[in-house]
Amino acid sequence: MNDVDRLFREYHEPLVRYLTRRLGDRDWAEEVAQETFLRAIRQESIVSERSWLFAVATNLVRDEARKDIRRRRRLELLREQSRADEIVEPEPLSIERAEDAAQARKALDQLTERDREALLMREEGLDYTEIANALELSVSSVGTTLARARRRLVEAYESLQRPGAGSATRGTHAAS
Amino acid sequence: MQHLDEGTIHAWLDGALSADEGADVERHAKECAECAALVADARGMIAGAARIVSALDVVPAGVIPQRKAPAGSGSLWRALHVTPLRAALAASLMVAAASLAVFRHAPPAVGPKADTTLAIAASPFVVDGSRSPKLATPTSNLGAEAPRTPPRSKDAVKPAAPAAAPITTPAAAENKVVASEPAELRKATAAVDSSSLRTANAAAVSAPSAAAPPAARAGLAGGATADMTQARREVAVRAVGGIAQSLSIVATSADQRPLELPGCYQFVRDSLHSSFQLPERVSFESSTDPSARNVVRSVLPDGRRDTLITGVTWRWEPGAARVVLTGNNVEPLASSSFREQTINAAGRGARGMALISPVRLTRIDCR
Repeated sequence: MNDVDRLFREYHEPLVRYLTRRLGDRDWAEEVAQETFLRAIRQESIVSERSWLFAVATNLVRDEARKDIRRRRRLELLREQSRADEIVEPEPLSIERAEDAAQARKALDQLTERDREALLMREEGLDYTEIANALELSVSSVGTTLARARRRLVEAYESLQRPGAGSATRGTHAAS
Repeated sequence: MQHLDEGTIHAWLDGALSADEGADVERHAKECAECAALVADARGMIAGAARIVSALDVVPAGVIPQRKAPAGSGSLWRALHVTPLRAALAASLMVAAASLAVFRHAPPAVGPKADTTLAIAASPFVVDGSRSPKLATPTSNLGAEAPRTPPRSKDAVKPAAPAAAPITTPAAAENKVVASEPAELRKATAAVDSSSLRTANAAAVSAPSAAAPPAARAGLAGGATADMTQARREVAVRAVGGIAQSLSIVATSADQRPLELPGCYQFVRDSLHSSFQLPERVSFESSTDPSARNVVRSVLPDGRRDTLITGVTWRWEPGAARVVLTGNNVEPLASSSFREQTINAAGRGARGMALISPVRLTRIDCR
């Protein structure tokens, strides 16, 4: 139990942050993180803790993604129905921040799943060996993967920042 | 040596190469202009990607709608968003403030025993000697005999603000019981809500060390000042306002000297944007606890290390010659400031990637 406490203290926050960036939904990220740690409890020993946790979390996300499409559609319907009077809305973000976050999300979605996961893991401080273990890559290919991911992300984001590219988003905000 | 490929450059900048490999890459980058440009380009990509990824942290929680309670069905406490614990804390703070005011204006003749007794009597918690938040409704404590359960009558349920009135009662009582002994106290309380204070005084006399809650105790001791000063300083360096978000700053050396961490550095002003939220001088420190993260402390103009910057940590990639500061619950580089860096840093970095210009650091002495 002490080991799990230590694992939780060390890795819960970065794991939730990785999952939040991956999923775009903090509540969901917390759930997946919780499930990950539950699975860690069942393990007798874990050799490379960080890569194991991130690998399990990544696999859970992939599995959940398929099931969640249906759930999210249902939730969206609920939101539409109860929007008028009864709903308690979360605190709104400023338009600018929401716009930047949305564009960052769009840019990230243009990466392949592997590139996206490798990049997000790297941003959480995982080293090349841990990333390779988590994503079942060779260590020597991680550099190339990250180089490609970073370039594509930046280029995608730049293209969204150009005038005209973001006008649809801005129009939506203006209309709402 | 052949020209460097992108993967190797990124691996070198991420600190993933061995010492020998890294040395080879570094040597080649110095000798080959084309590769040097690729390295600069890669630095820009790494910093830009980090910044874009950090923008993803702006994610509202609570997406699933929560229904409001229908009007009139909730208790007054719930309608006012006052939980028992919050009410207890508010009451304790008010009692502490009132006690402090009493002591400041107390005539010299008032003995410490009487003061202590009055202060304890003023505490909503001493009525039954416990700290249960259930006793936190101030009016119920001062207007009734030691309640063991939360008050049920609606008369006893009052919002926190009006509780200030009964709390001032002990001050009024104190004016009447200057230099009094407990017996005098009993007489004096006839002028005020007698039943409650009698109960409180009995409890206080029988157990003079009965615990005042920490807030009242701090108020009695007057020792909160130093803690509050420290807390204010910590808040001052922790940005406030807006929505608590993650912080991600990439910093590199401003001159040709490599970064040496841990160490003390000053941010170069013209590499900063207007909404930069960290102190100008900082100390990057390693935590003595291997499981804890590296921390950042502000540094005073005279070089003395000062306050720990809560929520901010750093990591360093020697091969990448950069340090990354991250933090939670800190006002981040605002999205507009991200664009400001785009505008202001034109020309820095490769490919005009101004939006990925890191802030720069110069080494300073500190103690």
